[in-house]
Amino acid sequence: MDKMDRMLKLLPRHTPSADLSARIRAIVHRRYVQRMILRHALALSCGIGGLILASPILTRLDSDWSSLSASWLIGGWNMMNMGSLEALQNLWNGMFTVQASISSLLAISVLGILLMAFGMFFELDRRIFQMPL
Amino acid sequence: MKRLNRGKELDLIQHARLHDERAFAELVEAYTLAVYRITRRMVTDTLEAESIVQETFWRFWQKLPRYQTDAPLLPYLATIASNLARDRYRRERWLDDGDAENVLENRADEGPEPEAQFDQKQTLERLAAAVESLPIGYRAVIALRYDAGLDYEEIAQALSMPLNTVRTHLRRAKQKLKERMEADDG
Repeated sequence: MDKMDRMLKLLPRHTPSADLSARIRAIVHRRYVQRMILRHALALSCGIGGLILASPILTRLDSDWSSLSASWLIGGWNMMNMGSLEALQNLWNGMFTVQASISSLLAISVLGILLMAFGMFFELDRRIFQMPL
Repeated sequence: MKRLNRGKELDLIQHARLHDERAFAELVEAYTLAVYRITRRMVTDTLEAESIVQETFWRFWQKLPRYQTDAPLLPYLATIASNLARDRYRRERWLDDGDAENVLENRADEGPEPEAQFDQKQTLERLAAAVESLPIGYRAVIALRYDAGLDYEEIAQALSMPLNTVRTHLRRAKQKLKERMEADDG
């Protein structure tokens, strides 16, 4: 087998096209940029979507933080739901279909906050975006 | 096959992890030839080999955050490349309903060219053709051993197989090649 070993070591070596390295770099760069754009778009969508869904609670917190805090203490979750409902009616009538399907404004708000958090995570954690989506 | 020194390699990998495309480009420059030679030995088509090399580096880029830096890079790239080559081979084989052994038989029917039979260059070309006709698993170990210059342990790691299986594959591959060459010589 020594002779075969020697012959295998002497086998004609294939040479790639001269521009193969450059093409690899270009392809990786292009795909990476595409992925970055996708990532930013996704983060933005999550952020905006989350903001829309959570806006009733955010509005309420912004307008009357102290009374809302008291409401939480006194009336619990129901009060927040009512507050969310009012604000949501003012801001987004169209959201009622979503409300009907989920059947709770609190759930919508929580979903909104989660979406925003996901959007932020998506934007901040850079390492994850080199992984396949 | 020339490799980057380990310190330099690790440094480039660390930078590439931070999305430094210049560091990644240096890694590409350093290993394109090695990965291409491994791939080209496993697939017969030049364009397909280049396509596999491109895909190999893209996958490496994607996997960089999870890459374990204690392992040398070339066997890692060889793993990706040989998996891609084997996947494509299986897909083509499924589509063509072909068989590597049939290729071997067909090549045997072609017969040697008498005037160049004893010329070393011709002999090596016949040997290269014989390697191409080996089953994909044997081609993989030949490529990693003789084209990339990996040792047995690195081949075992790259192909996810036990060390003894690597030895067996190499021995059988060489045996088949020897038989093929002897058949050609008449």
